[in-house]
Amino acid sequence: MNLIQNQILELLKKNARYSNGDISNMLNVSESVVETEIQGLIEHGIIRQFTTIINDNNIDDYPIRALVELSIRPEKGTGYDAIAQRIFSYDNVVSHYLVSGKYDFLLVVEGSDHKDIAHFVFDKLATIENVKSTTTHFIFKSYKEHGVLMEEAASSSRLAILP
Amino acid sequence: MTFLSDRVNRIPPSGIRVFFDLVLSSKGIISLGVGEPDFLTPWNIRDEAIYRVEKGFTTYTSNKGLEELRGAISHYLKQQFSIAYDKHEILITSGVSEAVDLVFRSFINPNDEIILPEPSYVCYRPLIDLCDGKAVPLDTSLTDFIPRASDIEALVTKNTKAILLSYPNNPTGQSIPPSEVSKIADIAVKHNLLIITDEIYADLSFDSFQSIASIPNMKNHIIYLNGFSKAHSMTGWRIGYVCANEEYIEAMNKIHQYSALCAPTLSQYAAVEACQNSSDEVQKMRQSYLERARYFTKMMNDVGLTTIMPSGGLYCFTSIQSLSMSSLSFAEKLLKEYQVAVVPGNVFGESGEGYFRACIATDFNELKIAAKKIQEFVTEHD
Ligand SMILES: Cc1ncc(COP(=O)(O)O)c(C=O)c1O
Repeated sequence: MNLIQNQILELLKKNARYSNGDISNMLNVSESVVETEIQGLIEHGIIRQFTTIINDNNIDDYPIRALVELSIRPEKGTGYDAIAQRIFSYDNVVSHYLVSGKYDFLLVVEGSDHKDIAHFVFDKLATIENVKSTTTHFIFKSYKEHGVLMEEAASSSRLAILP
Repeated sequence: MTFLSDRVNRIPPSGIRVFFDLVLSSKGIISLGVGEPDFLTPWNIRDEAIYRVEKGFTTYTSNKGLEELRGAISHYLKQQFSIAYDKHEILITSGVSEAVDLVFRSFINPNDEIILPEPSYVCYRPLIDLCDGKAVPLDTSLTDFIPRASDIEALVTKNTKAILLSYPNNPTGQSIPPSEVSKIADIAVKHNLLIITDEIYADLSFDSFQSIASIPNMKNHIIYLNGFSKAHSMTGWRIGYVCANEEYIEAMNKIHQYSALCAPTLSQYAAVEACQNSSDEVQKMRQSYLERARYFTKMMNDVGLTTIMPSGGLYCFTSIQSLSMSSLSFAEKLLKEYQVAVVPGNVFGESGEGYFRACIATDFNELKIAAKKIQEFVTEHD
């Protein structure tokens, strides 16, 4: 990746709603360069999606989430990947990582309520032959997502004018 | 009859006070009049202070400041700017503000002249006056806000004591190119003058920055000031420092030991952490200021308000000469009609008339709204 692509990514990571014009002014390159670079990043699969970070702590009836640890017996030849596919293909698996440590897969699973998630884990995940065991941690509260605090910390306000 | 001293009565009332009070009492405005970063102090620095509070590091330090901090600053200046000061040659102060005051009180005799390129930060003139010195302004507005060595030399008289430099500059954002820096150093040597250099924005330089204090064999001519307020987002901690040869430091310490005793202890510990472990954070903040400075500069030039891209710091200095109104009436109208506050340029000296200062350390969305409102203002008043 070149410097401009890097800087564009850093800006979009902070705010996906920056217009091409804003980015062009901030990086001192033409708008058409910004346009082409972003298109290139999308085509190369580096930018996968423009999305929104939501603080769901205080939204009623919002889907709840759990972290699910899975111990896996890998398959000869295809290793973890083939099994992973059987798991991440479910829409309610919102993140899926292969990790080092005591277990192998770490998932973020979404569901309408506790029962919904429990049902998914017992019925869909635990029953997969290569899944040796599962541990589920329901998320009670989110403090920070993708580098963003869910609640603005109180801090002193700056003097509006000072030479 | 007044109890007030003649000295304090001599400080002229600030003409701008009324406008400032208006801004401070206005609700729902976007202010580009701010004079400090919009990032919080990096967490590792705050955490260090919390740790020191818990452990009870709450006594005075030595007058000159923690040896550990002076050592860390010595190392930092060497790494960052190739400036060589030993820890004995550093005095920790309550912000650069205290350091400026100490320098003037230690070096100015009545009627000494200090050459002061303007526009410049506002504290120098009144503090020079308090020492019965004389600030001799150099208008830099015709040379893209860069003082030329030849123009400085033209102001030298038999009473000239010092040249005061403050680059990257508040309010203009400009720095002196290296070739000119060495010419200024030559003049100081030739006429046996002191150079007082306040480089509080140096670590927020967007391009490489050459400090006059990095020129070898100049130590007897240089008083170097810097601090943590701007680059490390530590305005409220009140930590600055002054570097000079030991004789000068001891002289300034004579005043500092009585007037300040020592800089705030907890803040000194936090500053050690700032020196040693925050270069990534500072880099992120610098990049963010650079992006916003470019943005604002472009938006202003697009509507014919000439703005030179700053070479560092937190400000853009924009010309309103195309609008044929004074800095102050521009600022007042902009506040009343568009709810945007800026600092009128004449605050920074006569040569700042016809300009305004905008702090780009402002949330991007607000900066964008403010820039668009200034654009609308121009369209309407053209
Ligand atoms: C050029 C300059 N010097 C010194 C200061 C004061 O800094 P400190 O917070 O270290 O007292 C400022 C603050 O705006 C400044 O712009």
